[in-house]
Amino acid sequence: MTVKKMRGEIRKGAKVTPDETWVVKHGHKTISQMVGNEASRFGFVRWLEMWKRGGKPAILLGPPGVGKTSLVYALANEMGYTILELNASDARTKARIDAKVGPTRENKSLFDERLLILMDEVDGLYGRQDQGGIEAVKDLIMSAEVPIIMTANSERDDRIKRLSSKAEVFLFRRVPPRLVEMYLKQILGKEGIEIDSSILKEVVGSSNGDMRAAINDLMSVSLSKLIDLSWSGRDRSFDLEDGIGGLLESDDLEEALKYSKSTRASPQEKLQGVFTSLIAADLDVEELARALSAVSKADLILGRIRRYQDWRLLRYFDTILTSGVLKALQGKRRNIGFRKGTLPWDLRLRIWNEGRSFRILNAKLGNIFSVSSKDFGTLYLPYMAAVANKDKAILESLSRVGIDDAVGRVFQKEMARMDTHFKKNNGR
Amino acid sequence: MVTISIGDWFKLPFMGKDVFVRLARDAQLRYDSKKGFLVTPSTNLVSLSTILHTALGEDVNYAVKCFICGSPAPCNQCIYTQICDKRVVSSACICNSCEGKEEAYTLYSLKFAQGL
Repeated sequence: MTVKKMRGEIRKGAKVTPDETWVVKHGHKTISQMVGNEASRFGFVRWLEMWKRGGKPAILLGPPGVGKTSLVYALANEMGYTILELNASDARTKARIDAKVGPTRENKSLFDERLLILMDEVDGLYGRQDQGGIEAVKDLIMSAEVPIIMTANSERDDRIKRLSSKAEVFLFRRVPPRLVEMYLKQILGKEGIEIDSSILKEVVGSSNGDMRAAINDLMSVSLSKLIDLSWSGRDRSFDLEDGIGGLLESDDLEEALKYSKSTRASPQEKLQGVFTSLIAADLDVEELARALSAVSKADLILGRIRRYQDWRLLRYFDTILTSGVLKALQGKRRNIGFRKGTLPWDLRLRIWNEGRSFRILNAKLGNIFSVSSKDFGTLYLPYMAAVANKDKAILESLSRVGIDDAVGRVFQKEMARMDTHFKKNNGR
Repeated sequence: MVTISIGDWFKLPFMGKDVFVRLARDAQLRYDSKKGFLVTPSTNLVSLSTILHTALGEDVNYAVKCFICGSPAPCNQCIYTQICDKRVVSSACICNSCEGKEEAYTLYSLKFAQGL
C-alpha cells in the first residue's frame, strides 16, 4: 500500500500551521533530545569535555540527516562554546583561514567566549584541491588552539580517511526505524495530530534513517494531501554505493537519473562505480556488451570535457550514462547492486599481457607499413586480421618479421573477432 | 546463522591469522584475549558480515538491545524488520514494552541524560 493511495485519509488533526518548518520547531535543542547513535554521542561529549590545548581535532562521519551538525550546535550551546563555522569558500587559502580564525589563536573572542571551530561537510573543502585549501586546513588542524570539529558524509573517501588518521573519529550511522518512529510520534503528540499508522510507517521507511527527511516528510503528510514519499521533493543525496546501487536497480529513467545526479561523487568515480558493478554482475554477454558500450560513450564525453575543458558538456554526462545503461539493461529491475574495487587479478593480468602484445604488434607492423603504431592499431589491424582469415599465409609471415608466438596469439584473437563480426553482419 | 549480540563480548572459532587481521583492521572489531571480540561504534558491520560469511560460510545476524531497559529488542516481531538493515543503522533500539509506553521518548531522553 502506498501513501499516494491514501491521500483522502491523511488529515484528522488540528492546529497545523505552515509558519515554521517542523525541523526547526521540533529539531533537537539538547544532546539528550536526539535519537540514535548513542555511543558516538557519548564519545563525542567526552571528547569535548576532555579536550586540552594541542589535542586532536574530531571528525564526525556519517550520512546526512543523522544529527552530526545538530549535535555540535547542541553540545556547544550546553557547554558554553561559541561556534566559528568555516565553510568551503573560507578554506581556500591560508590567508583566508587566518583572517577568519585569527581570534582563536588565543582561544578567546572579544567577549571572552570560548570558541570552537566547526568545519561542516569537509568533503566539500577537499574538492578544492586546486586552491591550496587542503594544506591550509591541515596547517590549521596541526596548530589549533581551540577544539576543531569536522563533519563529513563519506568515510570511504580516501582523502577523508587520511584526514581521519589525524583526528578522533566518531562514526554516525542511520537512525533505526523504530527510533525514528518514536521521535515522530512525540512530534505528532505535540502538534495534536493523528495520522494513520500505515502512513507513519511509510514516512519512517522512506526516510531511510535520515531524521531530517523523516521530519520533513511527516510535516508534508500532515499539511498536504498530495504526497509522493518516494522523493517528496527533498534534497536527498547519496554516497557512491547507494547512488550507483539505486541507479542500477531502477527500472525507470527518471528515478535512475535522480540517483545519478544525487550521488556525491565525481563523474570519474561514478563511471568507475558503474563499470565495476556491471562487470561483477550476472549479465549475459549481449547485455554486458551493450551496457559497457554505454559506459564507454559516457567515458568519451568525459574525455572530451577534460581535453577541451568544455565543462558545459558535463550536464549531459549523467543522462548519457544513465539512459545508456538503463537501455542496455532493457529497463528491467535487476539485482545488480554496487560493487567497488578493481577487476579480478587473473583478468587484470590478461588485459595487461594482451595490451603489451598489441603494443608490440602495432609497433612492429606499423614500422613495416610506415605508419604510427596508433594508426596501425586503429586503421590497419582490423583489416589485416580480416584478410588473414582468408589468406593464412599472412599469419605465417608474422614470425618472419620478428613477431613471436605470444604476440601472434593476440593477432589470432583479432582474426577470430573479425571473423565473428563478419558472420554476424553477413559479410559486411 | 551466526548471531552477534551488539554490546556483548563474544567468541569466534579460530579462523586463521589472515581472517583475524581482517577482523581487526578492516572491520575494526575489538579483541581481548580473555573476553573475545566486541562490536564497538567504529566497527564496520558490513565488512564484519562479509568476512565472517566468507570464513564460516554462514550468514551473520546482529541482536540489538533496548536502549531504555537493556533487554533484547525482538527484531523478528518488529514491523520494520524488512527495511531495517542492522549493519548500517546505529546499534541500539527499543523493545516492544518500552515502545508501548506513552512517555517512551521521555524515558529514552532521560536514559541518555543519565549516561552523561
